[in-house]
Amino acid sequence: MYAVLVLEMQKDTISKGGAVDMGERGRAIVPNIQRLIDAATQRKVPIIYGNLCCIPSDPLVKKFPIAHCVVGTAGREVIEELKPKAGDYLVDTYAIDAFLHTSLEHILRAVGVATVVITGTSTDGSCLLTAMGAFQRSFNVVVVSDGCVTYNDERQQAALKYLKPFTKILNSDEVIKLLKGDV
Amino acid sequence: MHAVLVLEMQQDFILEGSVLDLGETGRAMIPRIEKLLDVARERKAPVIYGNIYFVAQDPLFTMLPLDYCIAGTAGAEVVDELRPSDGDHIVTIYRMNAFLYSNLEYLLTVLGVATVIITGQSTNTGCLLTAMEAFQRGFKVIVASDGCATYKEEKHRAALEYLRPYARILTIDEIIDLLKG
Repeated sequence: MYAVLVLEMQKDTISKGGAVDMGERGRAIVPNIQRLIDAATQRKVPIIYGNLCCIPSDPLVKKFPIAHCVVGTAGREVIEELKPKAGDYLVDTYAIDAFLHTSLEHILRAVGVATVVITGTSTDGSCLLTAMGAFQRSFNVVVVSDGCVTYNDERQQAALKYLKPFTKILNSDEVIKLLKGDV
Repeated sequence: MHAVLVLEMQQDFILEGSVLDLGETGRAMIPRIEKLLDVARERKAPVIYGNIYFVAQDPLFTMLPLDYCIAGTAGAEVVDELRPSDGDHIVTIYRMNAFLYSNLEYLLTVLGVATVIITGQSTNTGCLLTAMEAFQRGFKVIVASDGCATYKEEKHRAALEYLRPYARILTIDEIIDLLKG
């Protein structure tokens, strides 16, 4: 079974004026993820949100150059367009790798997921480390090239190139076809 | 306290003609890491080896079309020059990220380690993913720029650039000065 992972699509990372807003390039992936979620929902493919939850006293959080997605703030909420629905799984994440200190691995195994589809921010941060974490936990991994974003094209391309030996890199249309069983 | 991590400096990756031979860049690390380990042991900084051993039933090991680091064979042993000394710690690792499924975090914690110094191979896989995991687990991280290696110089440099926001990138000589400090 597939599962779609939506990483850190929160107001602070995506919305205009968010603490670490990536600008238009961040908002450009929203419709791609929306279409992917719609297709996944139709096929009863689980959607799992990894939402960064920064606890200000955490020494790791103190190292972040700009505070963002702080627990209890509006900036931590998932953006309206991708708001979770009943039946979706919500995982609070505490590091860049969504597996670290979280229940993500348990959820994937309990639900019976074999292939993790990765979307969200940032391609060379959470997406890369979570994809590598999933690969090393023996899941198949698909990274959605137009469903992940980082601060510039060079970093985007470098991250996808890094991930290529370990994952399948597909665009959102290709993944939707895969979910529909058309390929 | 500092600890030196020596990742996968096993014969099958390092020796000339071995199955996954990194080439001269792999062998060039040996005397530098050796020098660092001497100073670390002298200063009572723990030395921890991360050694991988082939598991035939694990699909991740059979992705490469060859067997390597089979327990009990010479290829699985740490290269002679870096052979563990009494009091060193050896962690069996199963993944590129040396923390995953291993007792590495336990060891670092009970030894009271605050700063992990990363050496070994390869820069863009084992070293990078272990450095990032150490950073995320709240350790300070130093990566030895001339004490890590990978198959291509370009990949080595890109990995060090990737790590720069999360780790201090220092040469072996700089790290030795730090330990002696």
